Amino acid sequence: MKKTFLIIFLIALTIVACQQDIPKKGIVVISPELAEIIVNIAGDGQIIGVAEECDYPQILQYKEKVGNFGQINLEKIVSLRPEYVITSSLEQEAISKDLEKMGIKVVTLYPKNVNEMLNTITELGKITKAEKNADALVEKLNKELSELKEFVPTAPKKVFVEIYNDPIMSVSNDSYVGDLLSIAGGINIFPTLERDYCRVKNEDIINANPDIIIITYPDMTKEMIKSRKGWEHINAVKNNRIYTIDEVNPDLILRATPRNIEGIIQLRNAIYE
Amino acid sequence: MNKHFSLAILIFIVLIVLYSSINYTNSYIYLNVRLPRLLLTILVGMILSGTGSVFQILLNNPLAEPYILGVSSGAALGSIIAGLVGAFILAPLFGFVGALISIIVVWALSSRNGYLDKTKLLFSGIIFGMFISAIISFLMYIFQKDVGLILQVLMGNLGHIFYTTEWILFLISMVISIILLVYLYIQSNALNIMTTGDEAAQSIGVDVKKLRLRIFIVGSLLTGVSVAYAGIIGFIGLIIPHFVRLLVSSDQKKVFPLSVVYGANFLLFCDLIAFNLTVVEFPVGIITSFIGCPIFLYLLLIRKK
Repeated sequence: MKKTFLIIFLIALTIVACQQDIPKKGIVVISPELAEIIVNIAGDGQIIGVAEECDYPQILQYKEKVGNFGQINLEKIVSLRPEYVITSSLEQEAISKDLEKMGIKVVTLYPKNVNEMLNTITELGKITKAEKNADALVEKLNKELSELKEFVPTAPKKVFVEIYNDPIMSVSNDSYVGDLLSIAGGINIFPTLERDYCRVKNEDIINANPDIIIITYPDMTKEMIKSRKGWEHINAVKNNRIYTIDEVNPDLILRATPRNIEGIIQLRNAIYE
Repeated sequence: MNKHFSLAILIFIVLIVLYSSINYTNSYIYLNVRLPRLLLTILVGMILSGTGSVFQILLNNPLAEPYILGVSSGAALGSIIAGLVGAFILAPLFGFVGALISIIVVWALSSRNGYLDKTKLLFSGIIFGMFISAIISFLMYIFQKDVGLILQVLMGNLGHIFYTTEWILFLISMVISIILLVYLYIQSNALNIMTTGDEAAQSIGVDVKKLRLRIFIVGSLLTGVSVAYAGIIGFIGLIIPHFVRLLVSSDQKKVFPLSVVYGANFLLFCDLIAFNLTVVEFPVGIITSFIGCPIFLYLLLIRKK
């Protein structure tokens, strides 16, 4: 009997000892764009874990990995004892719920256009206690943006942005890329779509006859676009105005980050040479 | 027979006219985009339904179709791999190789001395198909960026965008496929005899062993072509031949050509819906199952009576 009590006492002691709270500290970011913004305004010091996809700035590659964008390792995150986990987009909703159940603070930020990106910077500034840097960055970006917006093309060009080939997919004006495209002065041939990133019909593309085609995914070459059946009469194909990831870096236009300024410039250079 | 066949052809023509005229823009787009899609749809419908009807007789099992025998999954895996490594143009070749490998494996698992254990064949086909599906799911997990490509192979997509060279390749595969379908039609008599049992057929002079192997290879070839260009489209191989057998007797000589035409009809109809009536284009495989399942159940019910 005594022995049993002793054992129970020891077990209880162990549990209590284990529960001794190590203070939660640091941030785990599982979105490449948000990680990039945080490094921009507060350095990488507070970041204790990232997703595989967080590859810019380079310093993030040396951080602890907690899985990749769609498949986050929950145990890993919990073991890091972060104060915040920062997530993005609807795809990560399930993981956010799981994390919240475990008592971890989850912040979800999903900027859908450039203005929201600027708000996101302010928001992340509060979380990382780097409000000053955040405000300075927002101010700088606002200035650069308004300079970029002054540009008015003399002859606006119709643009087709292809984000996937099989099935063929494009973006609407409500998408992030769509917003950058309109700032760059391009006319999206699919201004409204059922979803922001949506499957489109081959016939509609040929009908719209874009002047410029922009490809945002790897492994697609200009020659492959040109050899598509029925595409030979599209202006962009006739005039060889197809731009792949070699000319327009997709990270600069698909991710909502301060580097979008560069992205807009690359888009504009592609569209208006 | 003649009456049924004329009706099927009439529906076929009406559907082609509808398919061509809805949302018609101009002749250039019609010739370069709509017509290829129309041909692809017809070909896939014919192949799936035709091979389905042959496989059902060959295995003496009403549930047989390329999908159940693991052939479609093998072809799907092949064309997914082609897509993942960027060899889009070679997708049909990969698809065919995938189909062939799966039929060889399934065949080896279920034959003894060249004779086929039909139960074993179905089992190994289903199990092998599951195994391939697991590989595909695994690929989906790893190559998250290409989930779209994998999904459309799995769900069926007739909106394939052809490269100019690929288009010529497609026309060649189409001609070969039609020749193979004609071959399957020619074997109708032998297949009819085989329904009486292998021994009986052998005694009449049908080389059962050889015929079965040939038809399997032809079936895999056809399935490989169809999956490579249009992905997996379920249900057609199953319901259309059964639907046709309700119309006419079970004489394969009548069932096969009618199945081929109704297969094309059914897929044309489903693609019309997938392409035009929905706001976002749906994978056609969803539509075929949506329409196919209730019709099939209804047919089963009235047959009972």
